[in-house]
Amino acid sequence: MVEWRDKTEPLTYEGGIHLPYSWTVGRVGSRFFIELRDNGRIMAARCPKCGVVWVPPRLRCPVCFIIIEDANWLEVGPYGTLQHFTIVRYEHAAQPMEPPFAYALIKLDGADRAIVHFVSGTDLVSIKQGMKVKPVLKANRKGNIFDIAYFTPVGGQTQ
Amino acid sequence: MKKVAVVGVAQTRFERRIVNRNYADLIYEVTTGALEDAGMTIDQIDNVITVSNDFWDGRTISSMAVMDACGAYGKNVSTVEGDGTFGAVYGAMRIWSGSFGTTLVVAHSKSSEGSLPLITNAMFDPLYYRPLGLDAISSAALQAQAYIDSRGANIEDWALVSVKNHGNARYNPLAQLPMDLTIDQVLASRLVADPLKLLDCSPISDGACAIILAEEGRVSESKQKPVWLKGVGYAAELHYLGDRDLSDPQALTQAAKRAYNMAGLTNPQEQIDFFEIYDAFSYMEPLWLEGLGICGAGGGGKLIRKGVTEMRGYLPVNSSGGVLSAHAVLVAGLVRMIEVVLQIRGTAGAHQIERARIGLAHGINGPCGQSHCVWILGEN
Repeated sequence: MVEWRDKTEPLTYEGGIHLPYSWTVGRVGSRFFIELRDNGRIMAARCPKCGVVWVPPRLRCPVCFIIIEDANWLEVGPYGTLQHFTIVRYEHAAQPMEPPFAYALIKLDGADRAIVHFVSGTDLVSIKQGMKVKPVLKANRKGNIFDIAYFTPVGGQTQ
Repeated sequence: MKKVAVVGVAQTRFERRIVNRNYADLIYEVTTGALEDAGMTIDQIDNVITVSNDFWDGRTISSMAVMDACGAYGKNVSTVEGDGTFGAVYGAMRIWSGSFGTTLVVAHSKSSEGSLPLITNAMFDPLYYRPLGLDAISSAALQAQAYIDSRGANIEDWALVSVKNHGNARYNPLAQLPMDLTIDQVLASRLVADPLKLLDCSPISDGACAIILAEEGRVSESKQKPVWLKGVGYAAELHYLGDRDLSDPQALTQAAKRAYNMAGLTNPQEQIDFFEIYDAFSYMEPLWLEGLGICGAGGGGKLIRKGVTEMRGYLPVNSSGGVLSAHAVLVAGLVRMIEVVLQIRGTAGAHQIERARIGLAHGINGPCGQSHCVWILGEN
């Protein structure tokens, strides 16, 4: 490489991208969030072919590739089992909760697949695989995933 | 179907932050490097595949920023947004289809320029997962814990993987993190997201790489000994982490079966001499070996404990230092292919292994290895 290239002060330009979006939730997703918002219920959809109960519900079974009709919707939970969890100990700007906090895969009673959410309202050290948990719903719900504030061990403290 | 070989390769040195060259500079460096390696000129390249990602580059149509730098002017060029192993699939298909005789595949990323947690947070759907703040590390931590809970994996074995791969990197002058570690140092490193510690995680890296593919009638244009694409397979699982059994990499098992079948391998454990696999986190090396069918479910840890996967072991895995020692996103899978090529040529230098006739290279896409690509390369 010629000498001037090695000797040139390497500049950087500090920029960023902020892009607002208005994402379409979809018919199935809208119904899921409206049930959560208005009735505090967590809905799922059972594939008429393979029988798997998917949560959040789907318009199509992703495995069988067929439509799941309304008649196959059902309420699941609110109690569930904590399958696996992690305690996050680093911080970034997209985290809605201050670390350390816990994420878990939670299989709601009656569902065959898990959802991911926070586990809170308890000491982090008391979180264990296989423990029963329940959702803590916000009082003022808006029709999004934060209508569930977090899951908490059954018998644990509440909000 | 025509036989296709890798006839030219190049990679940059991988660094935490390359501040004196932009990504087009890196692409020019590896494009000319691969041509020089092959002893070919840009006129002998029939078409080009670029591998890039808009979020990592901070612009849309990121491929267009490197068109001039990869010599694509006037050529048929297309792009893969995904790991470089998938870029190689596209590049090879363009030859297998009979459309072209040679393909240049280039990949770049400068992870240091953006924000890894924010960019990897954006790989999740915007409604159910992304608002929770999940990212590459926290989702991997859930998979690591699932591996412990469901298959009895343990963190001491993963520490051994970190010791081995960072140790191997000492013999690879292009690796970013050559380290002389002990298990205790890995286990004592900072807990990032349970059960993952800092030294279980790959670094943020800048870098680029390139390969030249040629059909059998054109391999003589290169001065290098051709390394043949013997087989390839790829598959994807469902996107939502909760839909998957994170401890069972089914897509990898499917991809591997297809690749073994195409390569005519009936007993891959015996027939494959060495492996370069995508260990973005230490636990991934044993888990992916299980998915590849090299050992049974939960057997990956034993391979590292018994020294089987050491550089001088019976089945060397990541003798280059692996992704744990340099992780330029998108680039890293194609680097696995390049490392297999160098081993089969016998020019891997200080990290050359003894028996390298058939090697396996592996890349992943999406959270927790949602999709996998498996390549089998061989000397004939």
